[in-house]
Amino acid sequence: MKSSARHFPANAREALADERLQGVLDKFSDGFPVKRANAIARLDEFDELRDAARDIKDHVLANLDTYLKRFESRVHESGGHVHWCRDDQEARTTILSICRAANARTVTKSKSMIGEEIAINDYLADHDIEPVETDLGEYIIQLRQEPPSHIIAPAIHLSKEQVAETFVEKHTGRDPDRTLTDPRVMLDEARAELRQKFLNADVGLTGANMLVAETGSIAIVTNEGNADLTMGLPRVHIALASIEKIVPTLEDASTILRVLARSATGQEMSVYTTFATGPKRTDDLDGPEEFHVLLLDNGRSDLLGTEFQDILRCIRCGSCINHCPVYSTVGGHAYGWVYPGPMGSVLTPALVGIEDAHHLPNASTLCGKCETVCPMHIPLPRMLRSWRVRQVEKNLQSASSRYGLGLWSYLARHPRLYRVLSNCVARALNIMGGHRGKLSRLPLAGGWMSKRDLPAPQGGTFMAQWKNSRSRYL
Amino acid sequence: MTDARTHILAKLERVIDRKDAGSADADSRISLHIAGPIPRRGTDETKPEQTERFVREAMLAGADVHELISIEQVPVTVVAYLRAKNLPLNVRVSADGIFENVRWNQEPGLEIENGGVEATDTASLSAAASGVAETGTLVMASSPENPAMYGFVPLLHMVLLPESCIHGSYEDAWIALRQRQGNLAMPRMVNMITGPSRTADIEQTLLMGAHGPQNLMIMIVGGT
Ligand code: SF4
Repeated sequence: MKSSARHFPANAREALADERLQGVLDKFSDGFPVKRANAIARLDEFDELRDAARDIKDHVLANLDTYLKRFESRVHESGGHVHWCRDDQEARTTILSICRAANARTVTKSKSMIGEEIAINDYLADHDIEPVETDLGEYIIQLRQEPPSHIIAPAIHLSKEQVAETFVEKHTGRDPDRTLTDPRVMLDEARAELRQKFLNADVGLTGANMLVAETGSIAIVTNEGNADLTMGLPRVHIALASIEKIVPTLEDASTILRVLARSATGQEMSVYTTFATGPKRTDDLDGPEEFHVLLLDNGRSDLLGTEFQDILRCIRCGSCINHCPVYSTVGGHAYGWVYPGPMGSVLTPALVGIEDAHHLPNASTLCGKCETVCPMHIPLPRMLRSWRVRQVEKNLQSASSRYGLGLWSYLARHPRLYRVLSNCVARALNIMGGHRGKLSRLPLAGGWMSKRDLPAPQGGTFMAQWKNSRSRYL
Repeated sequence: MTDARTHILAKLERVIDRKDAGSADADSRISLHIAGPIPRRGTDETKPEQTERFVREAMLAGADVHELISIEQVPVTVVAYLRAKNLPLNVRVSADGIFENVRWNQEPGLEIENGGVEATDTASLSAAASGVAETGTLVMASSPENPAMYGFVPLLHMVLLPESCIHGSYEDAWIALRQRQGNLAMPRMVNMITGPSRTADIEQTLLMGAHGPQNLMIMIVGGT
């Protein structure tokens, strides 16, 4: 997917003005956080599990090469293939050549953020292979030709009326005058449409939530069961995973599973957690004849050993997004690429370059909620600040903020001038505040002030008051 | 140009900060299967406690659970359930040895078929390897006898779970699985199933039966 992260301010303005989107987002912000809180209240050991989950990933990152090699040899032993890919281009061509060798015409897909990252759907379509998304949310947005707006709920930005319109338009072969208002009826319609696609597909393309080094298995978590049909019915299964998805053992996978669903949707456990190991065995009645795993780097190794390494612990639960005040105001599309919210604002600059995504680290109030709810203890605010520092180093801020900061730093180095000026400003603001003691307009702060009032300063400046109180108490 | 594998591994070798490595090195960690913290709810000691918790959690996740005294009650339970769900009395039954002595002809009208699942199947019955009390989760291990697709293609999935196969935690289920497999590799598919298929992708309305089964029915058989 092509990044439009550099247009964050414009994207966000558009989202704020979209009343329908605002309605959907209101509903969103009470949903997941409440469910998560309830699930955690049922599990006394949640904090202990978070610590353990973090430690597993830190251990893995410190031994990543060893574990990847272990995983690879287990996959070979079970009759599967491993393909290492440095970047998105290598991943795309690898997938295409597997599909070509299988004479594939259609490929069913279960939700994969890596798939979005490497924009595999467009690529396959350009090469005359039809990709079919099977996660209901992904299917809906694929019909609408939109990108996902959330990593676990890709169609969260749509109302059911919009879904109904899309189905009526795209499910040709059905009565165009049918009424579609009940979500149950819409789901049954989509299930029937997709069932045929599952049965006809030549290749199934899935993501992977984890790669288990002990067994050479890929682990996939869904609630719909679409990943299982995607990997179980076609002749060829390709799993796409980035290199940091490794866990050592089934025990380690279990620790992570215990925090994953609870953080994501507030379920105790997602409905389907599948460990798939190699192709169909002798006498098996179902399963793919070929099993391929793509191990994709695409910028991850650049983060190892840097101040951004901790983001590689991310298990894509979406909790930081669900609790982010900025996300719940502007929605996912404003972020302009695959990963929205706090984890996206840390990851996107790393993967597409800070030059293209320099607004994202600023799309945060640094309220710290994301770190508090992250099951992997990822210090998201600290990393957002690190990006801001890099931004300044690279001179990527707007001219006005550079000018403003320059002016401030000059004044800070000239205390006497600073005091005189701030005294004048405080008095002027006090007068402007009038009886209400509040300001609703200020020069140069139109954007901020349009939604807020600022209390006018009362009394002298801080320095003046401090001086006074010192003379009083000393 | 070096190949991607060599390139990635060489780069990892260069950038990894090994001082943070955990105490156990990778190989021993894999062979020791060290367990993390196990929640208290996964540590019930007696079978009746584990079973009770399994039933409670599975039902919370939306599964229907029946506790049977013996395997002989399977046909009548299956028929009553299919009738209640308004489905035809046709069931695709797995070739698991546990069904060998089930007398299906006790129930006239019930049609049983074995073999691979077909697109038109409405109901299936297979056997679980384990049940995990902690979250009411079934562990299904695929084999020629228990094909994985039994649990995904039909609208209704029924599962037989011997009470003796109920464990407290996931970790206990892995121990049992490793014992079962002996020197063999992991079964091709291990499906942990917690309740029936669902989605909330249409305006956050929770609906069952997204792509997998709309109903999951578990029969726990005691004394097996
Ligand atoms: S950063 Fe943490 S909270 Fe956010 S998606 Fe990743 S693991 Fe979840």
